[in-house]
Amino acid sequence: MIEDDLREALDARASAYETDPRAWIGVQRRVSRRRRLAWAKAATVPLAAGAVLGGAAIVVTGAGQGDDTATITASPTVSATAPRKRHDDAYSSVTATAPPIGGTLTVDDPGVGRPMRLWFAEERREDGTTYIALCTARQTPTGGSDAGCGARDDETGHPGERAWFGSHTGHGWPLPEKRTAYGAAREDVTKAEAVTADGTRFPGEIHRLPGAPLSVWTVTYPYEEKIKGWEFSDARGKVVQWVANPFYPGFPDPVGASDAKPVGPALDLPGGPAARMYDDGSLVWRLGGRIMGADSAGKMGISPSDGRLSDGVMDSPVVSHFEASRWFGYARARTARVEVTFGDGRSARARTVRDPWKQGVVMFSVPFEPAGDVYLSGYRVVGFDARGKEVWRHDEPAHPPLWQEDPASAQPDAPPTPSPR
Amino acid sequence: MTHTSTASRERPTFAEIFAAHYPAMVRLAGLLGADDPEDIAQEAFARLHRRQGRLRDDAAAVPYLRAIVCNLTRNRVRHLRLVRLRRPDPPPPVPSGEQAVLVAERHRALLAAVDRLPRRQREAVVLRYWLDLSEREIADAMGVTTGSVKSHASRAIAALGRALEENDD
Repeated sequence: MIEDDLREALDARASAYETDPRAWIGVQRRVSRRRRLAWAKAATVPLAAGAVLGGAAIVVTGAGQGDDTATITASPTVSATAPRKRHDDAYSSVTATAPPIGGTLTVDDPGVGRPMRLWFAEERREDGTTYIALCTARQTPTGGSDAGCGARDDETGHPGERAWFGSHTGHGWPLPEKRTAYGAAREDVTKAEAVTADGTRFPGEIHRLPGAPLSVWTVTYPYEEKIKGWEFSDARGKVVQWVANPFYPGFPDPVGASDAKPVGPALDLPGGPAARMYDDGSLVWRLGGRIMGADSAGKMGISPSDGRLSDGVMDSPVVSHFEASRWFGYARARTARVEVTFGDGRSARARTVRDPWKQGVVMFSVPFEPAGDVYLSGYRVVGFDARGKEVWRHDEPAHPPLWQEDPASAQPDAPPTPSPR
Repeated sequence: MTHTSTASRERPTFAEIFAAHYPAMVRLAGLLGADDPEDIAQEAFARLHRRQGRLRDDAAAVPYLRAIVCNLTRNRVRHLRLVRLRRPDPPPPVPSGEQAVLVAERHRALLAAVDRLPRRQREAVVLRYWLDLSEREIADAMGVTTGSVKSHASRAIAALGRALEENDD
């Protein structure tokens, strides 16, 4: 049919368009140029209202074609003692309409220390025809989750290919030590390896999911490695597929690769870290030159920002980071002291200082070694004014893992044996 | 790709939207006939940035991007046609070596016919058969009614069929 040929031809042509790895910087320059022009027209531009989000981490989803749609829903606020409702997780939401064909794989997401899930599902086009998609569900330490299904992870999307790239785990700050790349592979693939530009190889795993139409491959490697691609072999050791890393040599970080200029001086907090505000609206926390966290002003966490940091502490009065044996962050103006308390009785107090960038917040940092993952237990932060009177309190609920085990366990591939094929 | 998220404090940042959709927007611009698809895609994201605070919700970002890519490409192609009216036609674009490999020979006749379609028909075909969008989504991206989408798509398919028959002859 001409329609099928058309899809195939357009897919083939589309795959020939490569993207410039500096594109992000190109977009930022266009935005900055417009902003400068706007500033030139209006002598003084008051900073607009906005809300501060968490770190501007990149979540790399399928970079290919497809009818990408994203639906974001806020998870309900639950008390520190109340268990999370199971139907709030993205895995449950997506599998309600895209149930797994065969088993579901649960593997560690090294970026967040929470398990992620992968499975295959049948997706339906508008004309009623179907295709197989590799679906993933990830969770964040703060109780969020994210799930979606790729576009045509079957013969229609990858004609003749033995394996292909799905995506890799994301990152935030501080950068994780490891990342995991994953994708789909056909039955004859028994080995997957990540290969760097200098030829270093990192072995992966092939996961056979009972009843699933394809296998899942995963390769975990140090985050800093520049992975050029992935090599796939069959049971006889013959290389059957090479998949180039579409993000080689690496996707530019919104902060690290930004050409944003610092606004005013850095603020050295007691015992570190140092906080620095940039003209793109990002607040970057560094310790010994290493980025420990990043916040951004603005409704969507965009840069340059259209908001102030103070807008981010309107609903929740404090933004906290727990990294490098420290508790640091910022809180509402006129807060003189902050105190964090955990369920096990451990607590820490910090005096605040006014932010030097006129963002309408106060900054704090104090050495603190929490017992394990603070988001598993939840915590309370109380703010006091200069007279010692409580002016606000914030209860961060416990965020237990949304899922831990396989709903139907997958079998890691057995050691390679001669294929019957 | 369908995508669902739940988040406690997290909403997609501009960087996340860029990371997830930039390559697709470059490809869309290229398929619609842009001579510099990256330029179109970068401009679309810059406009999204300016507009983002006024979008009705987070899910509106991608349809907005598609519409901007369609608009910018349309204007760019129109501009190039006007420029060419005053100058001799440049030589036809030569596909890169990689393109030559990736675009199989059997697709060439069909893609050449797509390139010759009127711009609205071409948009309808690319949005329908490459992005698998619904008629409503295509109408939003093209800035026309769903009835117009149906009409453009069916005329395009008929024209492509005729072009392939002529090619076979």
